[in-house]
Amino acid sequence: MKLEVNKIARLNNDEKYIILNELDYDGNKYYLTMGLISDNEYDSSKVIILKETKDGNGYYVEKVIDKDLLYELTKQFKEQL
Amino acid sequence: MQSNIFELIDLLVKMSGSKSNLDELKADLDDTESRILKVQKKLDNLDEEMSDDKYFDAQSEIVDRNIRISLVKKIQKLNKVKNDISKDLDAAKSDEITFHKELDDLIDKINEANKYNDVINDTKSNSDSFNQMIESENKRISHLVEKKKDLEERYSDVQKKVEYLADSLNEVVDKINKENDRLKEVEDNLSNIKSYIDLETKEKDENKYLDAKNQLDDLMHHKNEIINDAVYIAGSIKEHIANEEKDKIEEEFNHLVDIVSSIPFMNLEQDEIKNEKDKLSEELKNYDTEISQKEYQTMDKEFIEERIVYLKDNIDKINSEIASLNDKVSAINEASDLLSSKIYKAEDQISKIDKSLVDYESYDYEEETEIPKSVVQAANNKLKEEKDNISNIADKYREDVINKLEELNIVNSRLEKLNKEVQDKEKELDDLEKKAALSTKSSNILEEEKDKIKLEKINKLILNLNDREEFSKSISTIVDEFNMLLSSLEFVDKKTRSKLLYEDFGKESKKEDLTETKVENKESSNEVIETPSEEVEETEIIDEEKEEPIVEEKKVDVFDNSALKVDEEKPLEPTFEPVINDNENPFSFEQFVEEKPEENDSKLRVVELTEIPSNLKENNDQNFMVNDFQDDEYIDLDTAISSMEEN
Repeated sequence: MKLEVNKIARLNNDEKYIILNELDYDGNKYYLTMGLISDNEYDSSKVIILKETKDGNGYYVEKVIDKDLLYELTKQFKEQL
Repeated sequence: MQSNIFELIDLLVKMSGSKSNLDELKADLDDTESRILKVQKKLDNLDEEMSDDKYFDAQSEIVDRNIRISLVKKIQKLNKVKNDISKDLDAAKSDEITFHKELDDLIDKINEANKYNDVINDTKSNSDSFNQMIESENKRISHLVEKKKDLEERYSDVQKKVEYLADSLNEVVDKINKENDRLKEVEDNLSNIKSYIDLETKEKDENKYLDAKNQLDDLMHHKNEIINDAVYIAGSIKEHIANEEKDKIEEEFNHLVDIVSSIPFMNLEQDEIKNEKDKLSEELKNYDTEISQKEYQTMDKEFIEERIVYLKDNIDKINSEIASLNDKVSAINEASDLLSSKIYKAEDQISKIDKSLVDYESYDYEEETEIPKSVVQAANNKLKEEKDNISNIADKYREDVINKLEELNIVNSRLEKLNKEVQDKEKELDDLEKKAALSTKSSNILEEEKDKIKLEKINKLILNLNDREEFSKSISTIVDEFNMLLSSLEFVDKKTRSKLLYEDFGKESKKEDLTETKVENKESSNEVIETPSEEVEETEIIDEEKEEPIVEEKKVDVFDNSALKVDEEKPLEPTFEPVINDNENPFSFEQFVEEKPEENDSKLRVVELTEIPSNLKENNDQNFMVNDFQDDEYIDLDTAISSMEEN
């Protein structure tokens, strides 16, 4: 399932994220997201960037943990504002 | 049984001492591999780019070729001009010679005519013919003079022409030489291909290549560190067990065993530990005794002490000489004083004599005193003689004073030198005494350091031995148990297992059974599962003794990710349905495994996408967000990014 901005995505590990913004970078799609604690509560300290990948079985996301990439993506997200 | 295998693997990991985190290692490996690919690509690109063609300046070569052609043509042209000028010059020179000869001839003729004319003019005759002859002769001379004048002009022109042509010829020859030099330079460049290589760019690229190569080496080194980490290998083994890849399990397990075995004492058997410990303790004890007996005395102390003794003795001697010289100075001073008093006395006497001398020349002494002048003069002479004698004696005293002063200077100079020497030696003595004092306390640093390192090594070995002691099983025991467990573990046929899963999928009542499809060996089985497949009937046997659900076991043990753990109480939700339905063979075991969230903990599948509810509330005290998303109010992205950066 493809991610969409201003929607809540539930992952197969049951984690939920509000999709705040999207970005095309280096041929990949990245999403700025914020974690949800429950359907009614969000955790403003849990802001992460997800990278969207696709294979034969559908869309997947990966948490971006590479510091250099995070730095670059943060910069790009900021530029969008 | 699988959990027993995992326990053995975990035990090996503990023995390895690795404190790494599998998730972090995987993430790090992904990142490292991605970097390796990038650097390798960069290297490949550089390798491809760094051909001679890139640095070869073909344009310059073409330019040089054109210049060569142009120069050759130019030189040919100049040679032609040179030849033409040479020809003209030769002709002009020939003309010059001819004109010169003609002019000489003409001058001779004119001279002869003048002589003849003179003879005629001197002849006295009134005949008309004679007069005509004179007139004719004068005309001839005038004609010759005229011709000479004309010839001189032409000769002068030819001379100028020769000069001009010679200059032109030199100019052309110079040009030809210059162009030949340029041609040689261009031909040298053309014959040497390196002249057209852009060395600066080439060097820059070579440096880039070298940097990338070093980067790649570092990354490869880092990758090796990760893949040789016991935690990572253990993770791989567990994954291979989950995937039922027996060959890979054995290969990775052997790798893990090698790593753990390389740690000192880890491959000891239980009964060998005590012996080794005794040996080490004995070694430590002996070494400790050896060290305690060592003085670590430095070898230079003896030399320092010898020098101190020598210096003290030497300083005493010098001081003694200084005292003697000081006595000498006092004696000289006394003698000088004595001489000074004698000189003073003599000078005083001379002064008195001077007063007694009568200046009989200045006035008439005889008239005033009635003493004859001759007597006065004799008396004066006597006084003068006396004065000279005293003066000579005073001079001799002065000479003595000078000698004494010279002697004093020499003594003072020697004294100064000796004082300086004493001062230096006393300073050296002071330093050496300090060194000697330290030397007795300090030790041979190198020797001490060696002993320290050796002690540290022994201590480390003892620690390693203690580490080994903590484990109740030896590596060989672990290996034996592992091999036994592995050989007794029969992996379920994947196709059959998929069918089993399909049969029971969605049936809540059968879910527990589904998770219990772990199969033990036939001998220990009690019950055969009823399945549509005959093949399964023959081969798949359930071990009733074991209550552990296999899926749960895999989720917990293999991936060890608490965030992804499945609650035991929670029924298995058919979250894999969509993927299973999309496939031609939707019930294969591979598909089932692939769809489990734990299969790749860095990749997560999006299972649901919903609208943001209006009642969404913030969970902490930060107030940078709004609560109602329905009213077109959105989260403050800037602050969200800042929050992410902070975290």
